[in-house]
Amino acid sequence: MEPFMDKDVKKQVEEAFHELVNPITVMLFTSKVQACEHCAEARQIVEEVAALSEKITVQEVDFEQNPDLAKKYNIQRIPTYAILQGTGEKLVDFGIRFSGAPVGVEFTVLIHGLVLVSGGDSELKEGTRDFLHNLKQPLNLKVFTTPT
Amino acid sequence: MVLAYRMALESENMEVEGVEAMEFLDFALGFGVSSVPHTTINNGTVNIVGAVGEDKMVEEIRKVIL
Repeated sequence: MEPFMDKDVKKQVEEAFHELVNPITVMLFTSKVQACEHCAEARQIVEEVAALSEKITVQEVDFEQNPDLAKKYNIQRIPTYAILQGTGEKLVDFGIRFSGAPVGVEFTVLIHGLVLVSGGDSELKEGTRDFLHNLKQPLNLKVFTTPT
Repeated sequence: MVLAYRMALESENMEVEGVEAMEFLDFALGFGVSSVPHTTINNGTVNIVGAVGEDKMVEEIRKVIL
C-alpha cells in the first residue's frame, strides 16, 4: 500500500504534534465480519499518524467481538475512531469520534482532534465554557463532511 | 467540526461524531444532507447547514435544550 502521507504532510503533522501534552489512545473500531470498504484505509491512516508521536497509541477493536466496548463508546458504524485521552486502563472519553476514513480536509480535522484531546483545552470563550459545563441534557452532534 | 470537538471537551453530556458523508451516504441522506458541513443535533432536532461560529452554535444548541 502506498503511504498515505507524503514527506511534506508528515512534516506538518510532526510540527502539529509538538503541541501534544497528554498521551492519547485512538480506539479504531473495525470488523472482520461486515463488509468494510474503508477499514483498511482508516487503519493505515491512523497507524501512519501514530508512528509520528510516542504519545499516540492505536488500539484496534473488532466491533462484533467487543459489543460491550462498542456500546460503552456508542459506536454505531465502522470504521469509527474514538479519540481518548490517556493510555491503558486510564482513559478519559470526551465524546469525540470520527466515522469513515479521514482523507482530504477531514485528515486535518483528525489531527486537530488528536491535539485537542491531548491538550484538553478547548480555547472557547468563558461564557461558552460555562454554558457547556452547565448542560444537563445529553447532546449528540453529528457533523457530516466530505474530503473536499 | 473542530468547533464541535472543542465544545465536546467542555461538556460531559456532549458527544460529537464526524461522519464521512460519502462513505455513509444513505445515513447522510436520511438527515437530508445535501451539502457539507451539515451538523445535526439529537438526531435531526436541529440541523445546521454550513460552518458556523461559536456564538451561533451555542444559539442552535439552546434550541434543543429549551
